[in-house]
This record gives sequence, C-alpha cells and structure tokens, in this order.
Amino acid sequence: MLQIGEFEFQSRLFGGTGKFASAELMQRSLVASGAELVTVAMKRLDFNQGSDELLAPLKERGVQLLPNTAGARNAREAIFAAELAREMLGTQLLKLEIHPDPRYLLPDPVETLEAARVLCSDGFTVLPYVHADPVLCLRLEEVGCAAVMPLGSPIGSNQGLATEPFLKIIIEQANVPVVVDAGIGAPSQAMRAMELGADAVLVNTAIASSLDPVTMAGCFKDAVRAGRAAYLAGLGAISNRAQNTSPLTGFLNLGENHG
Amino acid sequence: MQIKINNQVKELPEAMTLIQLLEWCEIAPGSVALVRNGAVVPRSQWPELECQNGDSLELFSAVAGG
Repeated sequence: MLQIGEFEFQSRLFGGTGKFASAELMQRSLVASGAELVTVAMKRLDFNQGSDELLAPLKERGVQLLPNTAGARNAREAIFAAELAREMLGTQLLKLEIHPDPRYLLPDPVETLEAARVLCSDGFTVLPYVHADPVLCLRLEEVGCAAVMPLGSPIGSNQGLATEPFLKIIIEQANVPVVVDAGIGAPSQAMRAMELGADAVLVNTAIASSLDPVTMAGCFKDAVRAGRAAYLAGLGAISNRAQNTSPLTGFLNLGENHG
Repeated sequence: MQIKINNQVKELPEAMTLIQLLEWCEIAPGSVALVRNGAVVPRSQWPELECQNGDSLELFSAVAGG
C-alpha cells in the first residue's frame, strides 16, 4: 500500500490522460494500467465542447484525479491554477509543475519551491514535478510536500532514466514517496525505477503514443509490479569479478590424474 | 446588463446569480471552475453572488493532460 498524504493506492503506476488518439482508447488504456491516480490538465472552457466526457468515466471507476498546473510559468500562476483545480475537482491533490520554457519543459526549481511552500500551508497535497535534484527534493519535503516527482528525462521524450545516479540519491534520502515522472519510455525503464526503490512511476506518453496503448498499459502494469517485488526481494550485489555459481571442485582434472 | 465570459461579450436578459448564469449558458456546473474579475470564486458562493454589469468571468474545465 502506497500512502501519499491522506491518500492510499494499491497501484504504483500513475497514469496520464494526455495524447491518446481518442477518449475511448484512453479509458481502456487506463483500465488496463490499473492506475488509481490519473493526471488531468485545465484550460479555459470551450463552449462547444464539455468536459464531462473526460471526467465522468474516470470518476465512475473511482480513480483519484491529480490535476496539474501545466501552463504555469511562475509560482503566482501555479497557485492560481491550484485554486482553480481545487474548486473544479474538489480535490486537495495537486501535481505542481512550473516550466517556463516550452522547448524542454524543464521545471523551474525556484518558483516550484516557492509555490510549494504556499500551497502546502494552504492544505494542498502537493506532488511537485522537479528535476532529479536531491537537495531540492529535501527542501520540498521540508516545506511539506507529500511526495516528490523527479524526472527521468524531459517530458514526453521517452529517453528513460537519464538521471539514474541522482534518482538513487533522492530515493536514499527521501522521507516521502518518490514518484519518477517524465521521460519513462519503456516498461523496462519503469521496472528499473521500481527496482531502484522508487515508490511509484507516472507514465503517460509511452502508453498513449504506443501503436497499441491498451497492451502497452498492461505491460507497464506488469513491469511496475515486478520492479517493486524485485526491490523488496533485494537485488544481489554487483561485482567487477566473476563469482562462480557452480562448485569448482576440479573433477574434470580427475581423468588426467587417473589416466 | 453586459458581462464578458471567456472574452465573449454577453447581454444578460435579467439579473442572475452565477449559478443561474451557468444554467443560462447551458454549462454543467459540476466540473468547471469560475473566475470573476481575476479571483477564483468558491463553488459555495455561486448560488448567492449576482452578476454585476461589466463583470469579466472566466470559466475553466478539465482536459486531458499528463
């Protein structure tokens, strides 16, 4: 059981709703993924298109919604977006993301920390999306964040765990759940994150952009489960030299001795 | 009375509260957030607050995102 603030989750795979070819495909993929926490974004209402199509089936399944602050370029805009999200969806959960540069979508650490400080004191359950910076993750923990979400590589890039050495440090130091978010492009990479001891992973693009998102969602589900189980079982030590797995009793030399 | 909603000018036929305005615009109130003159209006105040001439309202909804 994974606990983030007051919220509990059986599944350690968090999902996203972006980039799917259709709403129907998104719903089927999310069901296949087993995700119990799913991100949504916000935008100015299009009078010609309601939002119920997105939310109703998710609510029906009982998944928790994790509204994000995508589009916010600074702390002030993110705080405003957070207030919108709370009023709109009636949840305290918040994926805090502030990325001023649309080219790389890298999170602004200064603005993120400032926004987190305000939002945590205002009762939000804040999950900040950040670079894999161990010092920043500790600072975010200090101001009350319920989890930290360091990136593996740039959003939607499918480059995997480019930040692995730093993720290890974050995981080792953290007293709140660590959710590896962004850049995970293959089930093997999600599994690797879980083997390292991440508490969960958030995957959107890798599933949505697959030729068969429903099958891919199931693959991620299996990978996350296996990675978590492997972490709990304990990986064997890594050695630079060979360590024999069979007894080297020298019986092949016996023939020479007796021959 | 004239107000702006998401930058569209609307002429209201009569005085109405924010919740009545949503109904008039045929917007389901369940999954939107409402901003009035730059400030988020808590849902609990929608049935009480009346639109004022010149109000600038913005409505937000949830969309797919990661």
